[in-house]
Amino acid sequence: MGLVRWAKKTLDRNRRSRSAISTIMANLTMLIIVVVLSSILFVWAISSFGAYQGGAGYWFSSRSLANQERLSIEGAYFYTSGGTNYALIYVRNVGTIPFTIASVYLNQTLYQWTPLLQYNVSQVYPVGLIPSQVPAYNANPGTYSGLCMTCAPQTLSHGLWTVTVATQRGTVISTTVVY
Amino acid sequence: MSLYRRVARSKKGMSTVFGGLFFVILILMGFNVMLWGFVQWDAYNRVIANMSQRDQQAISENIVPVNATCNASCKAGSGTLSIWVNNLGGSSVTINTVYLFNVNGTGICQPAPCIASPASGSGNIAAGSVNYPIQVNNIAIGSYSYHIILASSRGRLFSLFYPWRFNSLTINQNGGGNFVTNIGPLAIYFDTKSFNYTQGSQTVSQSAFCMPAGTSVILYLRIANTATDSNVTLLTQTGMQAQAYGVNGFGQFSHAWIEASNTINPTTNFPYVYPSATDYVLQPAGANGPGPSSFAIVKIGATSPGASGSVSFGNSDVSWITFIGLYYYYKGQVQGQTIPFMDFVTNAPNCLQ
Repeated sequence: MGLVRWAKKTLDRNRRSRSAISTIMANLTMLIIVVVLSSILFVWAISSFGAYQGGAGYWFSSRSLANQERLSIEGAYFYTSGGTNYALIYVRNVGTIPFTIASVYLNQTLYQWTPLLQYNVSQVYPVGLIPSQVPAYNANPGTYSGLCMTCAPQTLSHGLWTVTVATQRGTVISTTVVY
Repeated sequence: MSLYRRVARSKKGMSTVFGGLFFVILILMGFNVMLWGFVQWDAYNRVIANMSQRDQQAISENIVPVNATCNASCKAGSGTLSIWVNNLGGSSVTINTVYLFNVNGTGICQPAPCIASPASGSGNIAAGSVNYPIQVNNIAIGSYSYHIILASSRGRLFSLFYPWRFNSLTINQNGGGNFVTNIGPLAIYFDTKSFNYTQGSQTVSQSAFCMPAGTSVILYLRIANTATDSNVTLLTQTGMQAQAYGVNGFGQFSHAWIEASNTINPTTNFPYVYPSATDYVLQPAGANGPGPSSFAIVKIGATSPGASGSVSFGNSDVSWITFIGLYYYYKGQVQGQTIPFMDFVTNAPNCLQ
């Protein structure tokens, strides 16, 4: 009889204490949820802000540099020498930073070359000149013939020619020349 | 100590505290990104403003070439080519480079142009300058014609031709600068813009009132048909004679006759034989005077009627009185007229050839 009473008493005590466990569990669960969600939000915010700053920063820096580029096509001359057609196009840097010409279009024909030459501020050089040719060109401009149109190949005919020059940063300038 | 125990043992509101802290950190990060964006935009706009200002200054450059002259030794390479300009813009202009391209197809500065820098200091042109000479030294320009490009430090280009090109078809109704002799249906223009010559292989004419002595030239004479009722067609016998002042003896005359309209210079000239495809046919004038088709630039230099060639005036530093006989068809009749008392000099001091 005594054992039965003890068992009943123990059972009743355990039943009463269950309500306290649920309160603690609820608080712990809420704490865990808040911490996890906040951590996720924090990580997301860090990555988003970082991505924004990275992309926008690149845009600002690249566009700022590109906006400081100014090219002037001072002359474009077409001629034939020894059965080969050439285009001699002089470009001056009239901007505030150096630039590098990446390509030239004569009408719709693309001309590219390597290695590329950097044009410092106020410098003028014919397009197509490579760095190793600069000393000889400075000593005697006649050493450089110009872009080889026959090599492209492109036919040289009389008429209106559209000359387009593009830099590595994407600045494009175009002019027309009568040959 | 009791406050610490109370806080340490209290479990209530921990999630609120953690959430609040995270929220505050996020807000601060947002502000940081916003401020960073403002700084970037400010720097970017500063670049845009600076470059826009440079562009506006470049656009405001307004250099107007008004003449190009060559001193006595310029053609040999030891003198100075002067390019006269007006600066009508609002800021000073610096000419960095002068490109000279020979348009004759032979000689120097072609097929690649000659590239020169203005003589010391002469490339800086103050705002408001009038007839400012940009000087180019040490280029032996010879007797060729050139397309000249002036490249400014801001990237603007200004171009002109040498010898200086005069507009031969502009009709100035008020007579400003034009001296016109009207005889019969023809008006002959004897001003400095209209009476021109070429030498060597020049393709652009220049004023003929100062000419080199003993040099083969082709004379350009601008005439117009002022009659409103008929064409005027020039005939092969049209010619001129020039006699040197104060020079005694025979042989002090120079004769020349008309040449075809496609004649350019002493090295490119063609005979004028009526009738032919190159006849000078001047259309009747309109109610308001001669129109463009009423004008012609007559080339004179043939050694005899119907021949080709060029003429030279041998005596140096003298004046030449010149008579021009114009023969033409008008209303189906052959007619002629003589233009007296036209004068020019050869190799005279203070006279730019």
